[in-house]
Amino acid sequence: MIKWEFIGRLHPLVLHVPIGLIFGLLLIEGLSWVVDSGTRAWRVCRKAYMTLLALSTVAAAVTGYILSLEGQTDGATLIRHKWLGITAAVVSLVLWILTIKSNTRVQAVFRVLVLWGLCALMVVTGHFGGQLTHGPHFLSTHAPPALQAFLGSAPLETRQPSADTSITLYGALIQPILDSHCVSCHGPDRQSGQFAVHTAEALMAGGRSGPAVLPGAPQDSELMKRLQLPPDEAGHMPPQGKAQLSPVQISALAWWIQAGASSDPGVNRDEIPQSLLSLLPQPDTTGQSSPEEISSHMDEALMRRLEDQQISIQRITQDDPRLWISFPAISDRVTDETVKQLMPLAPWIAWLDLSDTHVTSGALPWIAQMPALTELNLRHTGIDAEGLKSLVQNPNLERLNLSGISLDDTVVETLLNMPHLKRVYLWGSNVSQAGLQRLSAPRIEVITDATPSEVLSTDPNAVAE
Amino acid sequence: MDPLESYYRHITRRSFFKKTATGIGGLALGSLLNGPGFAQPADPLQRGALGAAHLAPKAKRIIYLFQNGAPSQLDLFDYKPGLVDQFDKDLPDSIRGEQRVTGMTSGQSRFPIAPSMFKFSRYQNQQDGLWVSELYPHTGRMANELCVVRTLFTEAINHEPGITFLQTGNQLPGRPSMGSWISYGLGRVNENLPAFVVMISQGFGNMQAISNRLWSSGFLPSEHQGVNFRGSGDPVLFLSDPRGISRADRRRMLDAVAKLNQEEFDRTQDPEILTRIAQYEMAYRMQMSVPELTNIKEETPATLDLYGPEVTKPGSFAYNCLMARRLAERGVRFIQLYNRGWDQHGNLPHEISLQARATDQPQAGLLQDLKQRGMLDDTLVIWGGEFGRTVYCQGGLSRTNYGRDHHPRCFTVWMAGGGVKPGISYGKTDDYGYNIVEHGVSVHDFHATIMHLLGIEHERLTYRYLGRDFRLTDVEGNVIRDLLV
Repeated sequence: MIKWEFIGRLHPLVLHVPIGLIFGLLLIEGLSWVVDSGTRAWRVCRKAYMTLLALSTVAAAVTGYILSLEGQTDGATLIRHKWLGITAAVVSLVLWILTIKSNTRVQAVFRVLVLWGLCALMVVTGHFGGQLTHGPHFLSTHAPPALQAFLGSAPLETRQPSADTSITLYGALIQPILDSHCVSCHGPDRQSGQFAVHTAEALMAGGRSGPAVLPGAPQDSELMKRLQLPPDEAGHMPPQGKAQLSPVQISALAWWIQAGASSDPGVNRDEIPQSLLSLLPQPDTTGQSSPEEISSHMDEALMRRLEDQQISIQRITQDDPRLWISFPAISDRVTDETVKQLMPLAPWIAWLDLSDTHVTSGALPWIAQMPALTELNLRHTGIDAEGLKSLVQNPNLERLNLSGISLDDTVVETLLNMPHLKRVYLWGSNVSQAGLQRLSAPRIEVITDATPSEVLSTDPNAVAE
Repeated sequence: MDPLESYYRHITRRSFFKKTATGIGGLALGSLLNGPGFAQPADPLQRGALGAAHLAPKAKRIIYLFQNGAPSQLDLFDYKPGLVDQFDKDLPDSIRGEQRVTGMTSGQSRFPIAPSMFKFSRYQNQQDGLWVSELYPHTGRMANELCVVRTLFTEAINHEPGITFLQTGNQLPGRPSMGSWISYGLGRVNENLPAFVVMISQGFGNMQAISNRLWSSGFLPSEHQGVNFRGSGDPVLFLSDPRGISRADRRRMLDAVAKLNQEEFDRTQDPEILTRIAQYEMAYRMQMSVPELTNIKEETPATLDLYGPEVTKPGSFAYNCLMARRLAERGVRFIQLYNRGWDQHGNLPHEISLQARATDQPQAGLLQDLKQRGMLDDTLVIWGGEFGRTVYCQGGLSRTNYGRDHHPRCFTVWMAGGGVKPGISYGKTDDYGYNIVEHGVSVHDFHATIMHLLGIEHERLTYRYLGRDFRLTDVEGNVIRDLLV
C-alpha cells in the first residue's frame, strides 16, 4: 500500500516535467509559423506534446496539493503557490481542449496566446515554489539591484545591534545566528514543522515537536538536540547540504539556554564568555558582512604596495574581515611613516604588532584612529608615556604590550582611562610596585614576568590531601 | 623532435589529469607561490592554503621542544611515592595485562618495580600544586605557567615509529610533518624566513637517530618542509657567498637559473620546479635574514642568564631555546627543536641527571623570557617525547641504579602559553604509573588540540593525494577542551 505522503513527495520531481514540456511546445508553435506545418506529423506531434503537458501539469498540481496537506509549510507564499498551481492545471486543460479542437486560424492565434499565458503563469508559480524550497531571498540576494527592486524582496537587513556595553544578548548574539541559518525555512514566510524563529516569541512558542527551548536545560532542548544530531540523521538541523552552524555558534545557543533563555535587555557584555565574543558584531567596523565585500572596499593597489614592502597583512579568520598586521621581515625599517601608510586600512585593523620597530609616539595619533583595534604590541619601541594618552580614544583596545619600554607612573592613569583594556604587559617599564598595584584593578591584568612558584611541600604523604 | 610532440611526452599521465581537473594548471599552481616576483594570488590577503585561520588563533606560533628518546615520566613529573615500598617487587600481572613489551625486556624472567630515586617537591600552581622531581627545579618553579598532561598515550613502542607518529600523525614514514601542515595551511608571515624551522641538540648517553624524514613535507609541496638550522658553522649550509662572489653576482646567477627553470616549467608544467625557484629565492633572502637572526650579541646579559651558562654555545639546547625565541619574534610559525639523548635503558639515574641539567634552566628560561616580552600569551610551547618509560626495571636494579624500557601506555607532556590553561595538570595514571585511570589523550587528540589553538579546525585542513583527502589527524582526533583557556 503506497502512502499518500509518498505521492506528495513526488512533487519536486513531477513539477519539472511540465516546465520542460511547455518550452518544447513553444518551440513547436514557433516553428510552425515559419515552416510548412500543415502535415499530419506536425499535428500529431503538437497534440501529443499538449496531452503530455496537460497530464503532467495536473499531476504536478495534485502531488503539490497532497504535499501541502502534510503541513510542513505554512504562510502566504504557500497559499499563492497552491492557487497559482491549481490555476495552471485548469488552464492547461483548457489549452488541451483548444489544441485538440481548434483548426481555424483565429482559434490557432487564440491558442498560442493562451499558451504564452500558461507559460507566464508557470514562471510565477515556479518562482513562489522556489522561494518555498530555497528561502525567499535565494534569487534576489545576488541579483543586480534593478532586478532586486523588481523582485520586491531585498535581502533581510542584517541586524546591526549597538555595541554598547549593555546590550540585548538575544538580539546581539542569538537572533543573528537564527537569522543567518534558520529563518529561510522557519520564518515569517514559511514555517516548516509549524516552527518559526524570526522572533524570540516564535522561538519560545516551539513547533510541532513541542517546545524548542527549555530554559536552563540545553541538553533537553529540542533545538539543541536537532543541531547536534549527526548530519546524516533525518532530524538534523540545518538539513544536510545547507550551511551548518559553527561550533562556536552552537555553544552560544547552549550557553544562552543554560543562562535562562532570556530575551530581556540589560545583559552586560562582560558576562558573555570570552569564547563567544567573536560572534558579537565588532563595534565600529564598517558594517559589511563578508570578507570578500570588505576586500573590494579595501584599496587593492595599496594592499599590493604594502605587501611589496614585506608588510604582513592577513585576516584574523576566514570569516572575519578584520586584519592582523605585523612587520617581522622589516622591523628595523619600520617608522612612524610606515604606520601612516596603513591609514586607508584603519577601519579594519584589529591586531597591530609593531614590536622591535623604530616607531615613536609620533605614530600613536594615527593608531588612535583605528577603531577596531583590540591588540596592540609596542614592545621595544621608542614611544613614551605622554604619547600613550592618545590611545585612550581607542574604544576597543583590550591588550597592550608595553614591555621593554621605559615609562613612569604617569602611565597608570592613562591605562586606567582606556575603556576596554584587559591586559597590559609592563615588564621592564620602570612602573613602581605601587603603580602596578593600582593598575591591577579587577578589570586589568598586569603582566610583568612569571612569578616563580613556591615549593608547598616535599612530604610524599601530602599527595593524598 | 616536433616541439608539440616533445611537450606531450613531458606531460605525465598524472599531471595531465591534474591539469585538466583544475582547468589551467599554471594558474592554480601560481597560488602556491606568493613571494614577490611570482604570480600573485587573486586576493592579496590570502595566506597559505586556508587563506586565513578557521578560528581566531590563540597561538600565533609554536615552539615544540621535542625530547627525543622518551624521557622517564616517573623520574620527572608523574610522582608515585607509594612505589618506594614496592622496590624490587614484581609488577602485578593485573597491571601489565596483555601489554606487549619490547625485545629488549621481553626475555627478562621478571619485571621488578624500580621506584624513582629522585625526591619530588610540590610546587604551587593554579590547582592543588604540581609535583616535580629534583631534576627539574627551574621547570618546577614555572608551575604556574605549565599545563601538564600526564596521560598522553601512543600506539608505537619503538623510537622510529613513535617519533614519526608524534610528528606526522602516522607511524609509517611518508606523511607531512605537523610543521609542514601548518606552513601549508597558514603560510608565512615573514617572507625572509621559512614558516617551519628545525634545530637539533645532542644529548648524553644513548641517542636515537633522527633524520630529515621527520620534518619532511611528505606529499605537500616541498617548500613546506622544515628547514634545518645547523648547530655549528653556518646555520644553513652554503648560506655565505663564496669568497670573491658579490651579492650582485649572486643575484645575476639566481636570475639566470630562475629563467632556465621557468623555461623548463613552461615546457613540463612540473609544479616542483616552481617550488625550486621559490626555494632559491628564499635562500637568497635568508642570506640576509639568518646572520641577523643568529647575532646573539644584541641580547642583554640578563636575558642570556635566563637560559643558563650553555646559551652561548651554538648547538646546545640552551642556544636553540634562545634561537627559538628569536625565530618566534620574527614571525616563524613552527619552531621545532629536537633534543636527543633520553633513551635510558640502563644507568638511568646518572644519564637523566645530565639530560635534565642541560634542559632544565634553558626551557624554564625560555618560558620566562617569553613571559617578560608578553609573547607567552600567543606562543604555544610544547615539551615532550615520543613515549614514556616503564615502571619496571630493565637490567640490574639497585636503590641507586636502574634502567627503564619503552612505555607507550602513558607519558607526560607539558604545554605553556598560547591559549592553554596555565598552572593545571590533566589526567591521572594508576599507582604504578603504568595505565591511564582517567582522561587519556591520544596523539590524534593532542594534534587536534594543537591545531585548534592555532585556529585550525583539524578536520578542515586536508590535502588530496592518491585519490583521497589526507589530514594530520587522519580520521580521528578530538580537541581536548579541558586544556583550553
